[in-house]
Amino acid sequence: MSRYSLLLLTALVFSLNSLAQNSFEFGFLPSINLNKGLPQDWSLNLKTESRQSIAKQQFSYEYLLTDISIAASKKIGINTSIAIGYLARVDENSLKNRAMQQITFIKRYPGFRLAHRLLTDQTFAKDDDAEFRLRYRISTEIPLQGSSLDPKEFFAKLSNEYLNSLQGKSYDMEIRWASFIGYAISPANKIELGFDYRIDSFVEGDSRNRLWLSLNFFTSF
Amino acid sequence: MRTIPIFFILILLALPGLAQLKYEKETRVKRGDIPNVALNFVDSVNFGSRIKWYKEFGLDTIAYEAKTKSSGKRYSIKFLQDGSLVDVEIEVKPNEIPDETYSAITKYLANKHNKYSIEKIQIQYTGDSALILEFLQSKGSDSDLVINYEIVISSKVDRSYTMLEYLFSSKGEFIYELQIVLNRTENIVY
Repeated sequence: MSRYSLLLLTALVFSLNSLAQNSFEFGFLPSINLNKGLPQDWSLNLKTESRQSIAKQQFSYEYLLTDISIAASKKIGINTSIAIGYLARVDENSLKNRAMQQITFIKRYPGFRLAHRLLTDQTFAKDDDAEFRLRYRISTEIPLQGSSLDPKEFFAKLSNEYLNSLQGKSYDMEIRWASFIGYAISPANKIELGFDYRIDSFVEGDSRNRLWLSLNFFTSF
Repeated sequence: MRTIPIFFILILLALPGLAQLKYEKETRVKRGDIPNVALNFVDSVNFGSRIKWYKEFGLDTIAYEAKTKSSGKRYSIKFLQDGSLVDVEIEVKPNEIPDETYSAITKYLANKHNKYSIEKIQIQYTGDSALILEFLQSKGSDSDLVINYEIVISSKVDRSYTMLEYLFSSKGEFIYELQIVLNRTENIVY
């Protein structure tokens, strides 16, 4: 089976699985990532991501929120980097503040790259208990036109993330799967299009299922 | 194609003082795109495993490369556009290099880098293509071949982590050093 067929099948399985669950939402999740390399292996990442719902039981457009984040990262090994960051989540009625800390390990294999990310975050909002999360994500980037990704070539990106959340006395787990087709426009620019499926609230009660059509743009300068 | 040298020159200007950069762009190609001489060479080895063919664009050269894994070893066989053999590289472990050679190589690297880690070692065979073919077919020895060792290390250079490719002779003498341009990773980090 070709890599393209496998990705299409993955996306289809996610979609069908979602439709059969308790609650379902479908929407858009575009993001822009700006990255600036700094001396001595430091770098800055500025990201903005918008969330828009177009179907929740029935079709209806609704703007949900926008995330704006900044992270400072330092490479502490050829394959390892640490980062701290701040995220502001803005919706029509509230502002949430989130602090983030992460460590990432990237391993280069012949034909693909594998990244492990361990992330903790703490979210604070007026009138809400603080939320503490511990997250682990594994993701891979697979060049589709060679053994390494070069400019003007397509790639696939797959990821799976587990998010443990503690808010007040309430524990929840969220699981995410994502599959993307990407294109390396140049050494500093990549674009990705794909599906990001998320399920949560299944530990206690009815599960909540969300499927986002994501369009990500990464640029470095 | 014109963008490749321009990209290379921009990087050179942006990173003065570092080792010469290694730039290669490779793309997967089909058997039908490969010169017959090269196809015949690889087919004659009888690897017994799937061969993947790539077209490799260097700064001023275009080459074809066959990659495969056979008997637990990774092989790369490079040809020029006319099908003539450039070299054969086989990935090996440190204990597959003669002790004296390995000692000379690690001594050189230790003198040059405070702390480094070996990421990959390949034995590189060049010379008469008929003799190399006989060697790959286990019909001849490597005694008449030119043997070099290509070693990729990670190290900290000018306070930044980087990967470097070295070539050493069969006696462990330094031949060249190239800095590998690493692909960006933001899309799997954030």
